[in-house]
Formats: sequence, C-alpha cells, structure tokens
Amino acid sequence: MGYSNLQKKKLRFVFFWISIIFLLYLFLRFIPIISTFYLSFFRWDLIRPVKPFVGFNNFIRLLQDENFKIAIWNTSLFAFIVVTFTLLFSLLVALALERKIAGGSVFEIIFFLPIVIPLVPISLTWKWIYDPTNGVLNYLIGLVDIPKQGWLINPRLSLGSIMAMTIWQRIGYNMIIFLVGLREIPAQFYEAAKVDGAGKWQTFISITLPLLIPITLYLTVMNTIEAFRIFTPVYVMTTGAQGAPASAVRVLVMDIYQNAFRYFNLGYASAESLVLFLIILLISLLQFGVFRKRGVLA
Amino acid sequence: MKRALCVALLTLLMLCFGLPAFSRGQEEEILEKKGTIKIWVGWSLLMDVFDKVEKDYEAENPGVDLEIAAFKLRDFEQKLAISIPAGQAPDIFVTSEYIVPQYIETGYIAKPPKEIVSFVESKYDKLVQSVNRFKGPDDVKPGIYGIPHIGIARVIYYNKKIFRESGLPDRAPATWDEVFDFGKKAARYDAQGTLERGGISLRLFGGGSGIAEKFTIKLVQAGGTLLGQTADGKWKANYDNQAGVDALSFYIDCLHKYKIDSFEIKHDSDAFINGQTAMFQRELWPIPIYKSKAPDLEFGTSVMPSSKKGGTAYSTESAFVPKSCKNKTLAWDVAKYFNQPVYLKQWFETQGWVPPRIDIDYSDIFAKTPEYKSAFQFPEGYLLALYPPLTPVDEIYTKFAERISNAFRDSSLVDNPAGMATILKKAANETNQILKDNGLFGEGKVVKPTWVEAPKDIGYKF
Repeated sequence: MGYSNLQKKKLRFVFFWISIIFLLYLFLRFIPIISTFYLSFFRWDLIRPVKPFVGFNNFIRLLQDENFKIAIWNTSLFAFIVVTFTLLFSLLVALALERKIAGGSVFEIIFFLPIVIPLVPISLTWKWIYDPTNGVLNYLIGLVDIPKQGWLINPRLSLGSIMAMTIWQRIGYNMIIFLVGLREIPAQFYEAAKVDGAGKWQTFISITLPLLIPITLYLTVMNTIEAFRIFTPVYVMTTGAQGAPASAVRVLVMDIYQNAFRYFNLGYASAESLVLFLIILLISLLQFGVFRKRGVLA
Repeated sequence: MKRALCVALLTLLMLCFGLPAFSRGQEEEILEKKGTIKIWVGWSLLMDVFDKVEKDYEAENPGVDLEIAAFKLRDFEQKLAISIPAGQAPDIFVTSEYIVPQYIETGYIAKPPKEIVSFVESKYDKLVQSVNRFKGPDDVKPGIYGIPHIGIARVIYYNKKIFRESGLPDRAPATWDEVFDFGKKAARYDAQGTLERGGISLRLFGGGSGIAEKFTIKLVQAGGTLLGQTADGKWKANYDNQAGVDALSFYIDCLHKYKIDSFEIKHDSDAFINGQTAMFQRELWPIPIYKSKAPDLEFGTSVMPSSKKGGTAYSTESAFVPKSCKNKTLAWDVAKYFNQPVYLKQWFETQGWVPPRIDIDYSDIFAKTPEYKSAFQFPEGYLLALYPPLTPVDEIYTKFAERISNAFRDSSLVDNPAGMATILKKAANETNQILKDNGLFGEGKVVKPTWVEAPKDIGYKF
C-alpha cells in the first residue's frame, strides 16, 4: 500500500525535523560521550601535540589517586545526606501544605523559588550568608551565644555547609512532586481508614507512605544522580582566598574539572568521567530493578 | 647567443633593482600599521590603563584596531590552553613565567626580533630578565621570549594603629619569633576565647595554588624550596626535609600553639582592611585599594621576617606573541607601546602593578607611596623563591596546597616534627610522581633550589 502525496509530504516534514533533533543530539551528546570513552585510553594533554595510547593506565592510576578516593568518599557522603534530608524535609513540607492552609499556594511558590534561580547567584548568596565576620548566619547564632563559625573556611564544616545549601535549594522541587503524589491518593482510602478507626500516624504509615513509594523511588534516584553531579556550588564556594578548602569539599565532578581544565589532563579526566558514568548507570539500573520488582514498571 | 645575453642582462638587472625593491616592499608591508591586534590578560585590574592604551594607539595609528580583553585568571589560563594549540590565540597575551614554558617548549610561541631582545636587555631589571629566559624546541640555550610587564616580590603588611594600641614598635616583625610575639600581643579574643582579631592572617584555605605559593615564602625562610634541581638537571620535591618541617610548624604554631590565626575569621586583604588582622603577606596591589577605599587605615609594609634566611616569593608576568599571530611585527610594536613609561607608571601608581623597567624615574610615586619600596629594596643575602619553569608546576602547587591545607587543621602536629615529616613525605611522593609522569623527575640529591639571591641593587632609583 503506497502513501498518498499528502502523507509523503507529512512524512518528509516529520523526518526533516526529527533529523535536526537527532543531529543535534548526535553532535552535542553522542559524539562527546564516545570521545570521552576514546580519550580515556590516551595520555591526552590539551597542550602537548603528542598524545600516546596508554591502555587502561589512566584507570589504574585512578585507583591509586588519593584525590579520586577523597572525591568518591565526599560525593557518596554528600549524596547520602543530601538525598535523605531533601526527601525528608520535602515530604514534611508537602504534608503541611497539603492540608489546604490559608495562603498555601504562596508558600508553595516561596518553597519552589530556589529551584528556578540559577545556582551561581544562589551559591554566591550563601557564601555571604556563611561569611565568618559579616555573615547573617553567624549573627543569628550569636544571638543565642553560640561562637562564630567559619562555615565555609573551616574544613570540618565546609562540606556540611554546602550540603545544607543544596538541601534548601532542592526542597521546593521535591515538595511539588510529593504534593502531586499526595493529591493523587484517592480520598476514599482515608475515609475507609477513618471508618476502621485508624489514627493519623497509622493512616500515614499504612496508606500515605506505601502509595507514595513510586514517587519516592523516582525522587531518590533523580536526587542521587543530581547529587553525584554536584559541581557549581563547590566551584563557586572554593574560589578565592575566602573560599572553602578544596580537599574538604572535593567532589567527583570538581576533580574531573580540575584534571581536565586546570591540569589539562583530558585523558585522565575522561577516565574519571567514565567511572562517574558507570556509577550513575548503576544507580539507574538499580532504579529500574526496584521499580520492576514492585510492579511499578511493566 | 643574443637571447641568452638578454636573459642574463635581465636577470642581473632584476638582481640589482628587483631584490632591493622586493625587500623594501616586504619591509614596508611588515611595518605597515594596519589590522586588528587582540590582547588577552588575566588581571582585570589592568583594564583601566589598557583602555587608555587602546585609545592612544588607535588615535596614533588609525589603521589599527586593538581588542583588549581581561578574564579571570583561571578562565584566562583555560582559554590559552584551548586557543594556543588550536592556532586561535590572541596576538599578544600577558602571562606568568610558570604558565608560558609549556607553550614555548612545544614551539607555539614566536621568538621576538633582535630589537625587542636588546630593548629588554637594556631597560629591564636584572631579576625579571634572569627569570624570563626560556628554552624553545630549537634553542641551544635559554633566551628572552617576551617583554616583561611585572616583577613582584611579596611583602608583609602591618596595621600601625593595632601595633600602637598593642604596645608594639612601629615596624614589622623582623624574625619568626617576633611574628609570634607581635601576633600574640595584637590578637584579640572574645569572652568565649574565640579569636576576633588575628595577629597574622595566613593563607590557609581557598582553592588553587595560592596556599602553596604563600607556603614557599616560609619555606625559603627556613632554607628550602618547593622543588629543586638534581645534578642531571631534572627536578624533585625539596620540602620533605627540616626546612619543610620548620615552615609547616610556623603555621601550626600560629594556629594551634599561639592561636594568633584561626579558621573561624575572615582572612587576607579583606581582613586587613577591616582591622581583623594585624599582619598579612601579599603583593603590592592592595596598597592603592587601601589608599582609596580606606584612607584612614594606617599601615606599613616591610620585607618578610626571616628565620634561618630572609626571603620571599617572586614572580613575573610578560607579554608574549604566539606563532599563530598574523602580523607579529605589529604585535611587538603594540607590546612595546604599552610598556612605555607613561602607562607603566600609571599601572604602578593606580594598581600597584610593579613595572620592571629601570630606565624610568619612579621617585614621585615612591615619595607619594613609600609602602611600595619594600618590594624593591632587599637586605643582603635575601632570597627570592621562584616558580620553577615546568609544565606541571600548577598541578604540583595545587595538589601540594591541598595536602598542606589539610595539615593546617591538625592540632596534634604541635611540637610534633615526626608527624609533620610524615605528612610532608607523603606530599613529596605525590609531587615526585607528577614529575615522573612528565619525565622530569631526577634521582639523587637536590643541588640547586629554585631561589635566587636578590641583588642588593636591582636597578631602581628611589
């Protein structure tokens, strides 16, 4: 069965526009990803003209690289704490806003605002908040006689300070998703629970939480991936003489950036990127596994 | 026969008249001031004067368009790394003696004409000349590749008012012991014992190699350098020794023993201008800022306090022309133009950007701002720690900076030379591994540290 002229015209139109998107994806995503794989097997210095093939040497060096180990540890710790507390606080805020309180939508906007502001101005603002001498935070804790802290410059506090900022920034987005999930739970479930004499806590544990599991899983995975890709706040907050100590806040993408664009070792940085890719891939596979097991995915 | 004679005659005529005409034509073409010259710098504070350079040069040479851009230092270094190998570099760029060797070694930088070399050799101070000699792929011995634009030694700043209030003399400490003593007297604590005003502000944190650079100042005073050359002309770490332990213990003592600095207060120039530290060490660029933004700030500068030796860190910036530049003669003309006395004096006076030309009379500036003098007048035997001219020097400094920054917070290192030696040994292994990866590691003892003795008179007239 042949296509009519109109159908052919429509198909040409569709293929033309799809091919543009495909080409863009090819050049902006696919080729750089393949190039990263390729570069990871070379000693690819940005400046030197000779770029010898080194096999798996970059990966072997990674295993012995203390900075890489610190970066893996810091990133994992960052991801664990940020994801846990972001989800917890987001759920609490969503539960509070779901009660249809007066001005609830205003609060929703306020909580959501940080997610629409670019990370650079947010990080700079928090750098001022954390300023040891003139920062708002030290002023506030001073009101209750807590000594001033070097929130960013004290290596014991710096990673935690960036975690706090990230949690604050992400609550809004997660809260909105939880809110959607909460509003999707049919009211008759709660009515049935009420008829059965279930208290608020029991209702929450037996109805709300189980029905939020698909959303929670989705948010856990997405937040974990985001947390492993953390870079901007770390970069902004470690810049300059008043910045955080780099080793205390060394995360994977920061380490990749430093190797690639500070030391110009693109081959080594590519190997590191590949490891990050595998970590994220593993998390994504885990997500699909859990979803399938719970029957969320067909 | 006649035809052959004609051809020979014609050839002779061409040789007699044609070649000179050709070469004249070439000369005219080379000297023709037409086209666009792009200049990149890594210091935005230079731009005020560069704007004037651009205006003046374009007015004097209507056919030339100058495009001058300043970037943040690290962004600038990245832009160079990408653009130079790609042949897309600017026509002139101003950078330091530790960034440029990798481009010279790989043959990306043009050699200046003889006229520029003799200009530099006759008009620039001895130090800046000795530091700015590099070996390209075809060179037998190191030579001049750029026009120096700055040569700067770090100095110590002290707050005169705080010193007076603390019963201290009107001078900077001369020794490490005096630093501790002056620092203890100048430091202030709140009711809970938290440091409110530092005795001295050391560079303890912040990303980048700045921590290591400042550490080398203490290292040179303790008799060491970050790297040293071995007998075979290669390199190795030169801080996993007593000098390294002494330099590290200076920091540890300031932080944990005498508590005259801490991780809980603001640091560096920002702290000094706000009276939150009595002393700190830096280049000269804060001076014009203090003069304009904090005219009431009473401060003095001095050469660095000494320990086993007296010394400080010294670095330079020069203007280079890459091989990819289409009109090198014009580029060198522009580079020479912005190194004229009128602009150099403006940079010096308004930005504290130290000009290395010694044929200029700076006495009016020194009279107005005597704080500048300490970067030019060195006591006998004063050592200047230099950046080694090596490709991976930034990686070495940055990674060392991270290790040393971690060590600063370890209070168990107080009076613990063995603990400090262990940390320094591990750091040295990392430094040496980077050198090995780059084929630069030398076995055996360090025979030549990366310092030079400052000449008593480097050529400036005060």
